[in-house]
Amino acid sequence: MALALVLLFFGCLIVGVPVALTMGVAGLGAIFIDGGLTPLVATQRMFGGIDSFPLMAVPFFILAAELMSAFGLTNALLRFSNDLVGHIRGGLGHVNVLVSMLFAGISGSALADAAGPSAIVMRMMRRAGYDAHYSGALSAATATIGPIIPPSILMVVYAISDSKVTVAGLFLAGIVPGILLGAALAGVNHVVSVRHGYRGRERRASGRELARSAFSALPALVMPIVILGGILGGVFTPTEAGAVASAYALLLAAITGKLDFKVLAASFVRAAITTSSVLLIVSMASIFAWLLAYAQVPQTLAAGLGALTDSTVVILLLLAAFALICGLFIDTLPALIILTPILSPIAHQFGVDPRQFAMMLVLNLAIGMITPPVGPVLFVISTVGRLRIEPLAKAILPLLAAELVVLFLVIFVPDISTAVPNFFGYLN
Amino acid sequence: MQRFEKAFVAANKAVVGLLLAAIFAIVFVNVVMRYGFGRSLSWGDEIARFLMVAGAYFGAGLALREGRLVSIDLFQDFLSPRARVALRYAIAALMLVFMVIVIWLGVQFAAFGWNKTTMATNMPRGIPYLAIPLGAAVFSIHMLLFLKRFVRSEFEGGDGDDDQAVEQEEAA
Repeated sequence: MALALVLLFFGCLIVGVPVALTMGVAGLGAIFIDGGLTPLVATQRMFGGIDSFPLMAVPFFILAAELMSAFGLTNALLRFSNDLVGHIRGGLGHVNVLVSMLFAGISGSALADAAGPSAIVMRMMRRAGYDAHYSGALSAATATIGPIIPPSILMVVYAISDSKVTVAGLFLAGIVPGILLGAALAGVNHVVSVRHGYRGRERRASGRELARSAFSALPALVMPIVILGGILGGVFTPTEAGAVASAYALLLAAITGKLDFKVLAASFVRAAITTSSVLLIVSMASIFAWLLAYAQVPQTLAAGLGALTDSTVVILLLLAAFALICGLFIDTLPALIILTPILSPIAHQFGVDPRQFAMMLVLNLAIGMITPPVGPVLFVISTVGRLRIEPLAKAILPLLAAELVVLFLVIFVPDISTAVPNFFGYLN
Repeated sequence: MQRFEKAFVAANKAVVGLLLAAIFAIVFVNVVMRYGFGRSLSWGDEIARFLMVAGAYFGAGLALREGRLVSIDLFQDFLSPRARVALRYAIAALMLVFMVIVIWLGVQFAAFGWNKTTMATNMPRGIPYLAIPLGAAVFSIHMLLFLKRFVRSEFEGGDGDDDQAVEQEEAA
């Protein structure tokens, strides 16, 4: 069973069957080959895998980010970042980092960041004389902050695959790793800018300009506070927070007189199609994950690992290496849904804090988004920026190294993931 | 045929947009009611969940058209253009076969759930289950209409407005 499943999966993947269907085809194929199960298991998992209220945070946060961009708030964040850090050395590079961190507070997806603000800053950097491949590499790397700083689609999906954690707990756990990631990338940008003589913009924004751009970005800057504050205060669940965030974006558009039916309808349709492509993967992957559990793959793997070592850190390192390799070849979301039920019980068994393990896995797979051969964020940047993958992948190496340093910190220092949620009393 | 396809796509887009609008409205109204009136719609969560599943499956065909169903094309890029098209025909056929099986299983699954009821609204469980075979049918129709463009990777919807965004930004 497990062998048929894995062979079918990789076979379909390599020839280029869309990832979502790859898992459906492999799952259904393995059920037919095995013969011992009713094929209705597949449809049951397809339905059950996405029939979940916590998962509904996904469409809402996609919608909120879509509405924010459609009504000009993403651009306001960009202008504010530029006025704030544009004048220091390597200024636009730092703008790239900062705008991704701010955008991460309203969006939960690295791809949305890569196709949105990161792509815009990439073009601004190229016009200002930055190396085209470095601009693309930095934009791709900063986009991976999106799923680490809350809200995060990956963490919502993680939380429905592991009953030991909550969406709210994971959102809080992501804050410090997300800030560390931003700081690490800004550090690399500083070094690169010194070496290549990239300067900031000539004139520093005056206090008045800064105040003005801060004011117009304020509605977008307040949004993460509304989302997290509401969840922490017990006012609403993460899913409801997504709906409130969308309503907030609509309200802003109405107040500023930008509410236009055509734009609104187009935003809903775009968000719906994006949601569909995400949920389809979750739905099909849950057949796959269920079959792996049925074939007792997690238990077998845990027993094998247990024979190797009994040290928590060593186990975490081994799991991280395994996830990193999977992340190279499998797309982020399917990798998350497949690996979470396999690896998280092993981590728990060896005494790793569930939130720390979740951060390790999500960060790990986010890093996988910028590594070839299967790096979706890298593909988006290469398409938008008309850059070839090979030189882009080469330019990303120092940034990748910085992200790996953050990953090691998350592995060795549990407090990075657990201190903030502990402080607010979210023990899972 | 082209007119049918256009109307089909437009109708499909309207359906998924409205489904998302409906789940948004239900969940948001429920939050407002809980704080404004101290009560909420007991059926809200369940209906919203079912509509979300329906939206996921009804939007699959549109996602296919826009190239949002990501695949790994590395191997295909090594092939000659003709071999590539041939391989993509085979992939399309595999996807169609899979979806037809899903329609068949989905109908059985809905029938299986028809005399069980849901928790909050007591409707037959088979009704929400129908989202899967119906969505797979919609996907199959899109696949057939879009086949010639799918094999040549000519997806719809561009990202041509990025340059505009930069210009707006720099003008500001």
